[in-house]
Amino acid sequence: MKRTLRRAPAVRPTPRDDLEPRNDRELVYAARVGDDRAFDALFYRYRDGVYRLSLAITKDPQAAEEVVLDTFARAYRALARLEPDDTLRPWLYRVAINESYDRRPRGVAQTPLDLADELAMPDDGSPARMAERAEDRRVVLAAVGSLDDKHRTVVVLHYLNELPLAEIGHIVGAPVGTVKSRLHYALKALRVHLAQQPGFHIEPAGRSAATGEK
Amino acid sequence: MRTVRLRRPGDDLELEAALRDAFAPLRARRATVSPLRVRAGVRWGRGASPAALPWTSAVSRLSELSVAVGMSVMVFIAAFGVPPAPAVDTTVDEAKDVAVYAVPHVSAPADDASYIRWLRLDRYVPLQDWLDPSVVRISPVAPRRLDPPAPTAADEPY
Repeated sequence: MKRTLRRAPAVRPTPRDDLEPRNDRELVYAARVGDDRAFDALFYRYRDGVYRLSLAITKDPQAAEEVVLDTFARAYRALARLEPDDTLRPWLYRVAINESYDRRPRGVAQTPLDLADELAMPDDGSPARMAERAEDRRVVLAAVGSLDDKHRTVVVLHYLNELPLAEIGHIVGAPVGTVKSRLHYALKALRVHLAQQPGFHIEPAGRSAATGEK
Repeated sequence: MRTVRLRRPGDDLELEAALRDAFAPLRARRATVSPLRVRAGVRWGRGASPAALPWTSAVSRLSELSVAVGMSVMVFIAAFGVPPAPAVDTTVDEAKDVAVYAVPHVSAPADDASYIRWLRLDRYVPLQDWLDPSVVRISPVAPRRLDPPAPTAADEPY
């Protein structure tokens, strides 16, 4: 029997961050001389973080994707003058924050992110329990949305993007002490806000694990 | 009845846990855009690529500038207008004294028949058909007879 060899379709491997050993500085230098794969590696390394950060600020998935495109477009244009020490993340996040606040509708009351299906993540509990947790998340996100911009930015960077306070300081252009202070007052405001919500038994005083302040 | 999530009132550890839990769905979100869109947008819609910047950008900027200057000049001229050129006096300077008036030079006519006639009758003798007789004097020199005289009986060789 004659065997026919079927050629496998050529699939271009998707650049993976975990497969890219070069650091951001090396990738920037490579992209500067026209290495598109280096730029792709940078893109895939920080795409989702930029997207989540922008989504938390704009509360609009389409606007968040536009922020991703604009942020990396600015990075692409700025390749010739970018000089990252080790990581490009602070620069990218700073651009993304500015783009996100520029795209946020002004004069309109901010509503919590309408991701009802995703807020009700699969849980090991009953459907009632899932709905309850989704409602809790909406309340907490609404409380975060009620903060002013600089406090909300610190909260989002720390609790969503899980960045250390020192890197948040690089992003927002403030010393670590200022970041700690902003986070402290943000948590204090959140306690006050959540204390008014039924079901949240919380008092407006407490010690923060992140800042160590009371 | 809803359960109490923050069991210890005033404990920020519970608040931070609630924050991390609230951001958990967002943390699971992933963008669907590709770097190809970024590069395409930069190259074709949002500016020039770094490699092409020194050449194409400079040339395109220069051409844009020249077009802009040209359009501005046209708009400026159209808006403010150009003063009309002074009218040229096209009246024929007619000589009243035929004795001192030089024989005008007559330009060659356009059609073939008139041109041949103009050659044969001497180009410096104005044709009465073309010129105002009050302006042109007859040449004092008799025109040469270019046409041979008509044969007569005396010319017969026989």
